[in-house]
Amino acid sequence: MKRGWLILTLTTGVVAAYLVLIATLWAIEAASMRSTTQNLSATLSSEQASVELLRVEVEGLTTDVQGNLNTITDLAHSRAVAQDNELLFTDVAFGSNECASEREELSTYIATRYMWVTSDIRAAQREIDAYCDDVHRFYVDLTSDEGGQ
Amino acid sequence: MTFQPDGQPVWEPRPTPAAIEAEPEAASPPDHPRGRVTAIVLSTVFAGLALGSWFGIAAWRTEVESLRAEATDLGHQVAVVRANEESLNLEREILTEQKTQGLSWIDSLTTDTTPVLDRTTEIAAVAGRLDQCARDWENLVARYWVSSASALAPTKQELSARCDAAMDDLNRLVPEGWGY
Repeated sequence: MKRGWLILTLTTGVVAAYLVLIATLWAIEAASMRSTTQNLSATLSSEQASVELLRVEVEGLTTDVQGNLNTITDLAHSRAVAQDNELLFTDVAFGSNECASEREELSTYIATRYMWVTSDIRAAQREIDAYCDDVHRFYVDLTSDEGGQ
Repeated sequence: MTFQPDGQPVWEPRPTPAAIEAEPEAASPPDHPRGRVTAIVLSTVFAGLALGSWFGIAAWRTEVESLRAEATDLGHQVAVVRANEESLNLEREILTEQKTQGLSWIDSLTTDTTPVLDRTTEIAAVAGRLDQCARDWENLVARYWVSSASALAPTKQELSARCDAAMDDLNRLVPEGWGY
């Protein structure tokens, strides 16, 4: 009878010790996992903050690059327009000079009109005036276009 | 020990080994009640401890599995965020390069465009002067029909000089080989 109690006590003791050991190992594992989870959580927060900073920086850079592209487009457009205008104003300037020269020459004919047929001089004058009107209209259009830009 | 009426002790016969073997229980000491109680108490305590540990193991195991799942999820999220960070870093590098190149182009274009704009402005001003010349000549020609050439000579001279000066400025501005 005494031996039976002893065996029962020892058996329960061994089983209890074994189970306590296993429970302790699981508790240690849980603590380790909790530590790992906390570390990962901290890493994730840090990485997310870093990514957010990067995102803001990238947005700023995108805006800058877009601004630069707009400036480049504007400058290229201005340059192209300026080059076109340079050619057009040069054309019209030479046209006006041609006009002035023709009229200066015409004035010589008018001053000596007794030597020429008046109707011929008038016809020449009309022709020169027509040409000069075209040149002047071109100049007016050009300056109003340039003002519009 | 028992005694006879005369006071002499009564000697009982010594039990034989066979008798002793036949009754082993009689030879062993009686079971002590305190030892049994101790055994019961200890067994109960150990059983409670074992049961508690059993439930503890179940609880810890559940928690470990939950934490493991959480850690796996967090690890995945960290990997995604790091990939995102890498992608953003690459994008930043490209954008920084584009920005630098863009600023360089702006400098270059500004340097190239400014003289063109200045020259265009000057040519436009000269074109205006020559246009005025042509219109002044138109008025002068009209006066030639009604006035004498000698009376208009000073005006003609002044106008010619003004127009020649404008033409000189145009020739200075316009590249060689241009024009009529």
